[in-house]
Amino acid sequence: MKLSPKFWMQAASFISCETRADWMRAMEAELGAIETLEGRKTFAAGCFQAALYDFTRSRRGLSIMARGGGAVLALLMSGYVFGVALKWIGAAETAAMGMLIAGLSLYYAVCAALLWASLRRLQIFAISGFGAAVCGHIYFRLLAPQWESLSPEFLQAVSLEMAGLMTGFFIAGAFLLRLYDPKDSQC
Amino acid sequence: MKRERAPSKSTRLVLQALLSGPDYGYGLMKTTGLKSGTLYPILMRLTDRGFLTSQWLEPETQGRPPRQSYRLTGAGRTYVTGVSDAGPVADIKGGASA
Repeated sequence: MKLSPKFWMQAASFISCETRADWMRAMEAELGAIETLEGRKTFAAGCFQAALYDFTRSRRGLSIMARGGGAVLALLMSGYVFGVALKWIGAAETAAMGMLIAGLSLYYAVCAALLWASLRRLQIFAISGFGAAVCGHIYFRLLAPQWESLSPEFLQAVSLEMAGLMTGFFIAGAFLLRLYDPKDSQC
Repeated sequence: MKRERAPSKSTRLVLQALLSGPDYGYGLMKTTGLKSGTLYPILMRLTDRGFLTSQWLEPETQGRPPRQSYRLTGAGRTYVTGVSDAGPVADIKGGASA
């Protein structure tokens, strides 16, 4: 599929920061000076490459990549945990545990949405992640052994895993918040 | 003290091309043999560092949009001289090396 110079220039403009608008205008003006269509296509594709390079090095680009990557990971985690929860809910003896895990999958889904929406809102995510880790651990330690069908050792292992995951999210959230500027229009 | 990294071969080509006078982006592409995807990030970086300045110029042909011309600043000239002194500048397409 051959893409037109206009397409490449539009794509380049789309990913460019506001501060690079003058550069985009300069590139478009140069495009008009090129005689052949093939030359214009190559030039425009190069402009997109330049914009992409600039984007990946900018704070805006890093912010979007961090948010996007985090959101995809949280969404995948949510899907996986929900799948596990469905299996557990299906059996009578593990239904209560399954409900809890389903709640966890919902938490991850909310995390994914928050990550994508704004890094500023990640503060809620970071704090709630830590809170959920502590609550989940206490819940499993104090209440879960009452479920006779599950051994205390197993529940303790699960609770530790859950605490580890949540703490991981908390650290990742705090790290992203410290590193990236949520003002997406800035470069 | 922070040591400055030596410029890449492509950056040196651009600097050397601009040493002979201001030029447009497409003109620089033809002179240096660099593609737009390589040239523009270099121009952006050099401008951000204050080595280049740009100016919108009215076109010679009517009906064409104004084009941006690039030239070295005083700091850019000092820099390119230092770079040239540090080692040979790579060949410019169809031209001589410094």
